[in-house]
Amino acid sequence: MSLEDDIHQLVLAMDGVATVYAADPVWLSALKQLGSLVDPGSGATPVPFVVCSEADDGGTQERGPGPSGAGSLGEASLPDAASAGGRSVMTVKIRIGTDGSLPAPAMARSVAGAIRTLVTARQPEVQVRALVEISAIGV
Amino acid sequence: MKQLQDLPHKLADAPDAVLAERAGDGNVAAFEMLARRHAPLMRAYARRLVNSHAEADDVVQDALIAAWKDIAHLQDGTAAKAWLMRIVSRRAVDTGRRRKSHDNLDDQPEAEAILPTPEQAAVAGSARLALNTALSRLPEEQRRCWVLKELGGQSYEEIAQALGISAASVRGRLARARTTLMKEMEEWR
Amino acid sequence: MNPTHDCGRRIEALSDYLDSGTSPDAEHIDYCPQCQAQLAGLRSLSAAALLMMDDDVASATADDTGWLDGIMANLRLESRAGRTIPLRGGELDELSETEGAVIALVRTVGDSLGGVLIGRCQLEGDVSVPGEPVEVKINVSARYGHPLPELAQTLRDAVFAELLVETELNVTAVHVAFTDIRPPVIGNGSGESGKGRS
Ligand SMILES: [Zn+2]
Repeated sequence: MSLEDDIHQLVLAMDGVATVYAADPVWLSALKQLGSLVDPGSGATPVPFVVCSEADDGGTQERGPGPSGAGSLGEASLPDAASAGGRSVMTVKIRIGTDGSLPAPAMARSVAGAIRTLVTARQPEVQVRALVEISAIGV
Repeated sequence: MKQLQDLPHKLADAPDAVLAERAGDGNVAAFEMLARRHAPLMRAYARRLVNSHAEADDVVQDALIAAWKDIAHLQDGTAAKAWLMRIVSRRAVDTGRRRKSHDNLDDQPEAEAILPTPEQAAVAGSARLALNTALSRLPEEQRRCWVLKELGGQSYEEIAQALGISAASVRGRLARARTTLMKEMEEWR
Repeated sequence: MNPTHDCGRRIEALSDYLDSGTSPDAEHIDYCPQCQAQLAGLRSLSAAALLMMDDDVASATADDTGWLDGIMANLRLESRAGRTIPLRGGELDELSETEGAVIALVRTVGDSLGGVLIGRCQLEGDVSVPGEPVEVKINVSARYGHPLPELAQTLRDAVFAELLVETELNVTAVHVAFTDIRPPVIGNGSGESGKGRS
């Protein structure tokens, strides 16, 4: 299991989380799906749910498992934080839907916290920057 | 969970304008309801404009995708049906154009004969069957104009734009189509 | 009047007369047997077209009923994200809600009230800046028989309360506009059918 998969499973299991959405923007995935219909040779590529990227001196390196999937996300460039304290920064991007049992803003914060704890336990040397988007709010 | 069991009922009898507004805000269920409400008409109409039922279904699907992308810009939701029909018109004409440049079939009458069902055959001699037959014998350019106008409710300008011809020639083709159709229906009686 | 004499009126002009109900040539058309015969022909052509279309729609509906489900599945619709609404969080983190998620929430809250169906819903104000005043504008289709002022107040209260919990927006007002009143439910109304032209 990759780090991305572990984060995916961890977040899915949290109270208050209903769904983890594909990290790709919708229309992009729809187009990819259509593309794979048109060209049966290109088999369905797995949809990334969590995207991790690492940077030390401003440069970003995709870690994602997918060959092209993650690279096409156009991840925003990292701020100066990348060089903060000389530690490298790992950006973790995830989109979730809440189930309404907990307020959405608090959910975003606890998901970010859980991701930080998990990544730091694995790689104590990196700083974690969590990009959490609430894409659906349950009631 | 909130009480939403009766939402499907609420949507089912919601006017087009409300569905269009919700769809414009990104509500999938509202768009689906709107699509289901008008899809049979869109499909029937597309079948009259292209050559095969399979092609017509492709046209409807393309039209619905286009409609979903664009529905936030629909100003007057009460005109949703006419708007959907306009999208079908354009898509169907484009499909025909693409195929034509592909196959280079020029003067062949193209309409897939829409065969009468047993029920229709039972009332053979009826005006609609006569019309059906007469329509399939029209030259394609005239048939298109007539279908766009009479079945699609498109204006001369809209038809002209879709077909890439002048409004004056739309008027001319339409007149020829009507003259022929009336004559053939006379003979049928 | 000589029946073999052609009055010279063209079918275009007669069609226009039929469409618009007026013509500069109405004087002639109204009293010319030839023109009247043509008009009758045009009328019955239109009537036959409507009947034919009804048949077409019926068979389009009847043929393999799963076709639309197939198309719908292919559409892969998803709610629109809209603007990004920032949430407070750790220094390094970037937490947000989408505008689409908030609007869908308002819709759900409203739809769950008896007699209310939410139409357009808009967040007015700069939602991307924390603390900026935001006004919520909601169009409502109400079921006949529900008193509107109370309905509006209930809806406002419910939306305010929900947004307070589920967002960090500074909501300064919730405006409710009734755009349409639907007739009371008769029986188990299956709603409009796809058939029919208007
Ligand atoms: Zn005359």
